[in-house]
Amino acid sequence: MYKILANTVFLGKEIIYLTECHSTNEYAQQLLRQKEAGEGMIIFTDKQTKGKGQRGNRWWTEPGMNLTFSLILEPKFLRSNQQFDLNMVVCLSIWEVLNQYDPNFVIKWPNDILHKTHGKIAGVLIENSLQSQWMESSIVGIGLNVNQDMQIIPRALSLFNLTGETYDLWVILEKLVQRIEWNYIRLKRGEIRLLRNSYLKNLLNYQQRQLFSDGEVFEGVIIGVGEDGKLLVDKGGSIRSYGFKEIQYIGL
Amino acid sequence: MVIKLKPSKLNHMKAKEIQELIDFISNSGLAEVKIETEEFKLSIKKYSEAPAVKFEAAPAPVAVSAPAAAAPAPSPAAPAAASKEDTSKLIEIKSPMIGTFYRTPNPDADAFVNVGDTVKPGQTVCIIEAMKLFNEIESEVSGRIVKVLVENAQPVEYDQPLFLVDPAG
Repeated sequence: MYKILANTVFLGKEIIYLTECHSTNEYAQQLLRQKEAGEGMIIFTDKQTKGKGQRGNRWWTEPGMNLTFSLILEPKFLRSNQQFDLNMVVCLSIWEVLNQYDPNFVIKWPNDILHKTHGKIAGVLIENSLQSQWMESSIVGIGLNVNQDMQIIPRALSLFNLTGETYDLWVILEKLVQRIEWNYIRLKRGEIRLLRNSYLKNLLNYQQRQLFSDGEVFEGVIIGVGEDGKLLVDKGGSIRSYGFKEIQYIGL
Repeated sequence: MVIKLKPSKLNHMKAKEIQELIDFISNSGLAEVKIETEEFKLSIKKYSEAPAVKFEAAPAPVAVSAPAAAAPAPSPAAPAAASKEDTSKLIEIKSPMIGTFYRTPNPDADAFVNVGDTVKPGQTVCIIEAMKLFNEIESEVSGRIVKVLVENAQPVEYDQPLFLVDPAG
């Protein structure tokens, strides 16, 4: 089954639908290697059997209930040390779509989308291919819980859990891809500062006191995100930057 | 070859700097390096695999330029060993970014490349992860992997050598 998205310029003009797939990111990677994929292609599946999360973690989903897809981009205008910019674009775009359904979603650094009270609804897994100092291609894998009842899984929820309604996956996919395309074009145009500000504005606990651990527990304030994507935290008056896994949020 | 550095700098050398120096020397094609200060003598001599490191406190102040008695004298076999171990023609594959180095596509899989494998330009040799973003690093050269310079799951710096490739291999 092939469909295309009507309301976009270049994303989703080619969509590969798979009834079942190990991982849409892996499938996209294979196509890229065989030079059978290009910018804008979407790999979409109803049943992802080995969905990839953070290196080794799995992303569980019931067939046909949630959105699991990968989007191929070729952000050759970005240097490899600017790759966090693309991550911000993707997270912000997902947040903007979810915000139409509920005002209590936030982005959790670096790339999860949470509901303030109910937990995680979406995750992003970006796999890049670099050509020396420049980005060659990016596979943007997105998992979004839509119609699956997630109540049995602690700290996770779906749109269905939130509103009691079920949704047409295709409609939500279309909204997401349109939004990503729009913000991606803005990034290409050099609007990174505006995009970064929007990402920060919707970041969990931005500019609020909270408990962290970086080996020792302390009360600090997230004051921003560096160009390299590191989290900038005010720790006792001095500003520290943390990579993923170098800092934990406590009590969330 | 004797490298002379200011004692004040050497006295403050940290383990990491010494490691970097060893890496530099092991990639330089030099067979042997001796460093001497009033505080200590450092002698690095390269054998077949890893560089052998001898690091000892100097028993007494020694003139910086004087030959060190304690340092291993070049053996007759050294020139032959040096030409065999000539690394000057080897090419480094360097990290284009700061992050965590992974040799496998996922925790259960085999390494992208091992010592002895041949690589082509565009072939993925490792993954560097930073802020949960995963980057496949491609070789820009063709040749044979001679050495993997970083352990799996270790942090790497920008421009840090990851692999040594023999373009003739």
